Amino acid sequence: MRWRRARFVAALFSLAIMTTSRAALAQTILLQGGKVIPVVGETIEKGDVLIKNGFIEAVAEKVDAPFDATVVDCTDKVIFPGMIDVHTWRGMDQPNESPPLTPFLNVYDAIDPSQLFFEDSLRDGVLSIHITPGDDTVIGGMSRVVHPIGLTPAEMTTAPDIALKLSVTPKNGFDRMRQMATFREAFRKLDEDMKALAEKAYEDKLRKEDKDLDVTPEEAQKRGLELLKPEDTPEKDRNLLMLTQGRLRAFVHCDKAMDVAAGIRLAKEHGFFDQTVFVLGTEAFKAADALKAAGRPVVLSAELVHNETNSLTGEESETFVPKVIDDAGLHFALLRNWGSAMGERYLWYQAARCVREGVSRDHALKAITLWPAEMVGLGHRLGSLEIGKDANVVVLTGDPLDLQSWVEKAYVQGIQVYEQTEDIRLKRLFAAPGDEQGPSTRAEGEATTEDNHEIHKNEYKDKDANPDERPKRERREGRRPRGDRRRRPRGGDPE
Amino acid sequence: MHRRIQHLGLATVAALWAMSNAGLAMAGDDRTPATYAVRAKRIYTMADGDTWFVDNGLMLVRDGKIAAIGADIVPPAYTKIIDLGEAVIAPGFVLANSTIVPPHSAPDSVGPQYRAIDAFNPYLTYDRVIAGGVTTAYLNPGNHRLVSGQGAVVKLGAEGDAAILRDDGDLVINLGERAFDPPSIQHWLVPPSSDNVIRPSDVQRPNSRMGQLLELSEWFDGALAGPALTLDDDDAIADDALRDLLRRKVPLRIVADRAIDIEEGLDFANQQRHHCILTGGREIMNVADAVKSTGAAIVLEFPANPRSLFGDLGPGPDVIEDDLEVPAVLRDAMIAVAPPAGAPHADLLYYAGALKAAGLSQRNALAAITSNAARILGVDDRVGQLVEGRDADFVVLGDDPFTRATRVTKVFVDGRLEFDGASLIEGTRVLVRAGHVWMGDHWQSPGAVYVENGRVRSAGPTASSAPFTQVIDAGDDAYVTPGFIDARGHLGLEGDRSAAGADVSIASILYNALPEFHRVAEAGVTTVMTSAYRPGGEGARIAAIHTAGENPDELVVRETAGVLISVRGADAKSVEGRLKGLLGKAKKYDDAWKKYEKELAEYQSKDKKTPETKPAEEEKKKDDNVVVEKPKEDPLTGTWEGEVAGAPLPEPQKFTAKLKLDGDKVSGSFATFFGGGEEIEVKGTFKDKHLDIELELDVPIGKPSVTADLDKPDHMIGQFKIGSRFSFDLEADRTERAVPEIKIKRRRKKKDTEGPQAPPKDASLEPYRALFAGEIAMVVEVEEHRAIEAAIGVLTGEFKVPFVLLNANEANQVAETIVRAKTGVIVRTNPNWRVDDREYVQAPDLSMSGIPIAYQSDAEDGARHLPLRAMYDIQYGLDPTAALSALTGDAARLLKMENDVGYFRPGCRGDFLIFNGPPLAPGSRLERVFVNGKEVLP
Repeated sequence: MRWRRARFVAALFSLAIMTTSRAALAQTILLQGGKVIPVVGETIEKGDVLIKNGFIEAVAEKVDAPFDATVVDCTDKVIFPGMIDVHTWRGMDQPNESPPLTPFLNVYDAIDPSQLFFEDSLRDGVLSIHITPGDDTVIGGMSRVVHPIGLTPAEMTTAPDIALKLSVTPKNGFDRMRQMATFREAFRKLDEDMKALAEKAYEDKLRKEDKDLDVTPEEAQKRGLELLKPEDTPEKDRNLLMLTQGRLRAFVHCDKAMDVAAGIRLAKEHGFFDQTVFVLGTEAFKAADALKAAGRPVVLSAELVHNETNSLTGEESETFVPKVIDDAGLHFALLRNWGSAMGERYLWYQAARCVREGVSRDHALKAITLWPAEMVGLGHRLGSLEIGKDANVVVLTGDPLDLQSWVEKAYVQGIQVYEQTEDIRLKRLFAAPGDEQGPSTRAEGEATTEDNHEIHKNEYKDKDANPDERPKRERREGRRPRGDRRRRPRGGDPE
Repeated sequence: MHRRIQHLGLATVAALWAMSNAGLAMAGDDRTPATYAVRAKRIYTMADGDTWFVDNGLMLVRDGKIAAIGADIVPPAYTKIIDLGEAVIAPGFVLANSTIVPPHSAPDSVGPQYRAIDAFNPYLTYDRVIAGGVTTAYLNPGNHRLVSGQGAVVKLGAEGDAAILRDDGDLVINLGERAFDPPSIQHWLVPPSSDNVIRPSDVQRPNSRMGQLLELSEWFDGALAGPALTLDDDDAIADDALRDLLRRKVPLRIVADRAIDIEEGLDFANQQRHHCILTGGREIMNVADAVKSTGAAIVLEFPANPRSLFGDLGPGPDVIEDDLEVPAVLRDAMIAVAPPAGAPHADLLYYAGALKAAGLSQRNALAAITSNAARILGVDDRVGQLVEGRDADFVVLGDDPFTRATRVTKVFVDGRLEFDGASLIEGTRVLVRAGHVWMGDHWQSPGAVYVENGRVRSAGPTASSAPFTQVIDAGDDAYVTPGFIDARGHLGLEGDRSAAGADVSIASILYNALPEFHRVAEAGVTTVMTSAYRPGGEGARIAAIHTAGENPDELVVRETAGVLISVRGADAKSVEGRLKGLLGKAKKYDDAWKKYEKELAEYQSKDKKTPETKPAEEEKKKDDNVVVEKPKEDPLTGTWEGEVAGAPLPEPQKFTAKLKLDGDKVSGSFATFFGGGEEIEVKGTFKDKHLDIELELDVPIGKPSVTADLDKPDHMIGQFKIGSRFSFDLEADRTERAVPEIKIKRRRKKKDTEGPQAPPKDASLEPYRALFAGEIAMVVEVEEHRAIEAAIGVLTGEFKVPFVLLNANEANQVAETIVRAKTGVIVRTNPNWRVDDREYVQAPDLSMSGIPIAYQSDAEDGARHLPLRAMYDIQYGLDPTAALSALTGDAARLLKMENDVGYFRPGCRGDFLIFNGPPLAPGSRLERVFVNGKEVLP
């Protein structure tokens, strides 16, 4: 893994918008004197977090600084694990392929590292993103977990080949009968392909031994199956086969409550139930009983409130979905609502809403950190500040559920990847009118070579300057940067 | 910004509130106990054998299943018994074909792999379908392809897996035009390669009748022959699915309308040795024998959508004629009925009725939506009959299923109440039907009366009624009459025998909910014309009150329903004098009011016209209101012009102020945007170059004011405030020092005294205004015949007011005069007395003379014996019909109450009595009493 980190550093240098050369080189970092919210374990009101070689080395009230440590003063700050977006198609150039059955595809081929989406995620403290194919397929492709920094998809990858995307909710132009028939068709084809392969493998074996076929085709298929090596499987079938063997996770999209039972049945029938995460639409909370019985974790729709009108009486009802799911005792993950102009674009805002509606603070925080990490099988690496985990850490200006908090520093695998004071776009957004960096002539968010020059100049200037004497920046309180929406990926929203 | 935050706060509160309510509703849902019994007038069990219904039966429900059913069931102790009274219970209706699931979207002409159950949403409530009594439904995968897939059977309103009765009901085969010309299929090429070349899209069959059976046979034979190695992948899926279905011998649902398709389809099913469910069948008439011989089950599709009946067939040669007749040979076949494609699913009861009209027996017609339909779908082990062990899915009907206007009022699924019509209506709705109904003046046999929210809405031989009406079928032998009227009583006075004048509203001093009321009501007397025992000199008011009711509106029929005046014992001369004196005075009072009302109406109509017709006058008026004042010169006095600016004003607004200083008092006017540029009076102070004035304008958020300082001569700067909410910057210069001419439009409040003046009210004479208007009647207590004549003379001659005679001992002597005066007599309380040593019975005698009569109790709860009194008179020769009239219609008519009580006319109070025989006949019993449409229970 280390080699990747080296390339990572190179990437950071060239990505001018948010790098700090000092931090990037540091291998040992001590975040000192901040309020540590480790998600797992007690909050430490004033504590230290030691990062070494990309991992969390220590979390305690007082950690002695090793001789080579870069000490970062976090007084009055909050140290929090990097947040996780557990289901998004953003970051790809297009969410869906058009054929309904594409288990052989991989999001790797579609990730566009230059998208502002990644920069936004970084700024918002989302340090792990599980990119999955969109919802508009029957069986989509393979997903992966990336961190929002790096020049190529390979550099960005935290963990490859996490899960296969399945959608019980009909894709465009399909209905449920056709969707389910297509599923059956896919698994049946897989079954037949494998049988044919197995039979052939057995026959080949006999041929090598100069024997004639001595058993029925069914028996030959059975015997041949044991002879098959993974590389014998055609690429077309490999992912689906791994899924049915329980070696791959499944993210099963169930937009409506009625899809939940079908999704559970599908997963159980084909042997991947224990690897399944259900990705729910807002209305799907009505199947809470079925989900509770299934006991599998769920990803909730970014739209957290369900509204409904009774057709006979005209009565309107409103349900806050995470509360229902939480009451059912399920692990859930929250998503960002990119369609909203409000704070729903921020994971912590979503978590804060949950707390307002009666979900415990512990669960709300886990729903944006630890639980999504567990859903993608990275619970041992991400999602909390525990010794030995990846050093994906954000330093916030205040409590993670306080809407006025924001990300001041972010570390991915022990490397500082974000420093709010040097966020070019924020600078430009908040610059006072007349400031030389102010939004005078150029469009917002357009970083030019001159700007980059400017940054470097500032960097060198800042290096010697006393941090306390830095010119105060004009800030509008409570405002967060707006993402640049001009460069949305093509293909529209898959929902 | 501030406001927006407030809104967000409100929205949050609203959201929380809505959620807490939703939570409550959810928690309160399981109200039906696990074990309970229902009792109903009749339970249609639809059981096999001879008895298919139970009268006055009891059904015991335990844990969603029927534990026992029958007429002599004894429920376990402490079991809750729901008595449904007049209602009828039937099994939950079974929809043998539906479009609840939309047709699948795949292009395959033969797609046995498509399963309707995949598209079923158990989380929808299906309230509208359930409201029609449907508890079980067949899901059709579509009627658009030759083989459209596998049907399924589900229960609506059930939860989770309990909702699915069968997930592979049958294989749906559609014959005829609907499945012709399927689209061609373009296969996906993933990944495309030289081995996996692009093929032209596959063209599919059938395109005509020639192709459909060929295609079917090929597929069936292919599937039965075993997996073919040559088939491409896509067809193999269908092939596998078909083979599986054929091996399991699932029924074939042949959907066909034309005779030829029906025959071919049945033949095909026969060849394949599959059970066949024929669906559609619009030309079944022509092939009835063939259908009969195959023994196929039939799901008839009703040929028209009852909610849009008027589709033209058109001139084409291919149209299928509507034919509702079911051929005689098929009338005992296994028939179910289903709505046509596109029609709502809730009208199943209507279709069953149509099936009865088409020739089926009542039993078979009901079976077509219950037991037979369940059997056709293969779910008769769970639903379709109300027998022990089946699911407790049942509907409660307002009346027998095939009588008119029968509606589903409640629906239970798995013993749970899933639909309650009562929750959709407000108030009471009662329809009473009987062999004989007394309309107040004539008999209607048979007749019906519909009462909604306490008032009669329709009555006659039959009556319209709104949905979810409580139907009371009293039977052919029953008699229904309007509630009886006591034409003069004192109910509610509680023995208070003091005199009361015409100024006392008797209704306002009444007590209610007393046992006395109930006693009277139980006897069938529903209305009492209550008045004081002794009327005052100017008479007494009569109130028409109900003997049962829950609120003043129900209890008081009319607060002032008459004027009672007593001239008993006076001779003719003084009777005339008294009546003339009283009525003359009342007439004068009435005239004064009439004149006032006329003037008022004129004034008001004139008032409305003013704006268009008299602008000049208005102008003049304005000038009248202008005060011209001329003050002296000083630092402030003069005309000031300037601007008011600041948020939320979009742009600075000009203003002109004309101010006059007097000592340190400031007066004048202020004209700006606020107030539409009009000059508004200002008042305030000016001290040490500081101006502080208020505008005399009523603004809800506070008076506008100006505070400003003279920073230099002829220039002021300050603020213009409206209440404490808005504050604008103000700056002005003095443009003129001359004492301004201040034109202030003084806003004069419109005085109440403007227009015509109302004459003073006289409570004693108030009821007489209604009397002269003909709305109420005068009850005149008079005895001697000359006095009667004198009274009639005054009341018909000079004054012409409605009246009725009270007691009128000697009325028989002036019968003709009374008849001519078109009035009647409230007969004495003692029915007979001796006149010239001979027995005289008043009621029959007057009645025979053509004088309408009414009865009085002259007592409080003594009114309970009013029917006995009438029976007594009948014994002495009174025409029973006249006696009934005397208690109902005649009493109401004489007292001018015919639009309130005594008749079954629309608008009348819904008071009615149900007798088991002719009313007032010995041996007849009053069985039920309703007041305001609500039953008076013992």
